Amino acid sequence: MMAQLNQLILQLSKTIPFRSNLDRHLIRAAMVFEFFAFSIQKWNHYTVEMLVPMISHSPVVFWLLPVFGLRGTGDFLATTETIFGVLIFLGYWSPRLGILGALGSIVTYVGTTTIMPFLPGAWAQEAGGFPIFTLPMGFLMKDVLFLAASFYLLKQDVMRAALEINPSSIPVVGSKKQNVSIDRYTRVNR
Amino acid sequence: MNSLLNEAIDWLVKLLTKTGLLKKDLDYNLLRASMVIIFLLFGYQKWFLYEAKVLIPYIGNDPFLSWMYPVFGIQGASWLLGVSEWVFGALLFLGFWNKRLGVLGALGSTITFAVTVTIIPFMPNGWDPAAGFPAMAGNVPFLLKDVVLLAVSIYLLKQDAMRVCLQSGARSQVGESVHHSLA
Repeated sequence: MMAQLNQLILQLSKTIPFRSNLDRHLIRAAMVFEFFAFSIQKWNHYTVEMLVPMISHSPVVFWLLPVFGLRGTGDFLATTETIFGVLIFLGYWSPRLGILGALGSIVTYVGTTTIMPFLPGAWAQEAGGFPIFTLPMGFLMKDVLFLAASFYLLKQDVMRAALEINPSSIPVVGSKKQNVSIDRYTRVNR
Repeated sequence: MNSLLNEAIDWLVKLLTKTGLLKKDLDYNLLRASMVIIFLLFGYQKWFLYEAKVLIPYIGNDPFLSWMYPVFGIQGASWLLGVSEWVFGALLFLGFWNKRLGVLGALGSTITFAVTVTIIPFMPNGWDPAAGFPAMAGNVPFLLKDVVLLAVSIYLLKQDAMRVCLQSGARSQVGESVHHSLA
């Protein structure tokens, strides 16, 4: 069993996707895709209305509704999401812009994950309530991972930018264990 | 203006470099922890009849999943998914210490989210009735998030496979390819 598992892992590691930086690019591409898809949704009156219970209970963006109104709130959030998506996309080439995008992304997902404790109807009453959650709650729970992915992007881009500023600023890898832990993406690509 | 922005970013980069953010596996561990939480919570839901009914439009319309209803029934299909999600979640959790189990968990996770993403085009009432296609409605926004879950699963799969190769001294067998992609 162990031998087969080792064999499988070896085979996997030899395939081209595993020898490239596919995983890094995929996370970035997926985040860019989400920002665009969700900003398209917010340009739209009908879908913004669906988001009212979420926006009005977010400790980060609740003030948008009284200040800008429904339409303005949708436009505001759509604009910020488009900007962050563009910045993360440009992060492919410019880690500095990537850092700005990742910071915006962190703010965005701190804003959405903090809605969870305040969301009305989060628990399915007809099924006995907590811990059985409803669709909007499940939707928000996935943002925990989005927050982690934003943090991942921030780390990647800070590392690349630090290398641009000062190539010796990244501690040189010591032990074998650390070898793996540090993504030396930029060192190869430099 | 431009140089001011550059200065600010430089300062931020130096600050973050000093905090040790770059030295540790914090991002890798955070991504793994988030995936474990998601599998734990979403797997748990599927034990209940409420969730089994919620899943009907998801499973019933997907060409890769709809066979489960005639075979296992509505509650049975939900149970089966709940069990497999907990197994994958547990493997990912054990992956904190054992990278081989991490590989298995990440494989299961990759398959899970590759399948859930395929539900999107078959989801009824998935698009805004007024604006149409690119504007999402109903269950589609929820499913669309699985694109990121899939990307993170593939990331964990690669990371863990590489770590196993390095740990097990398999370097000689895999040779330069692993070295290159880690270096």
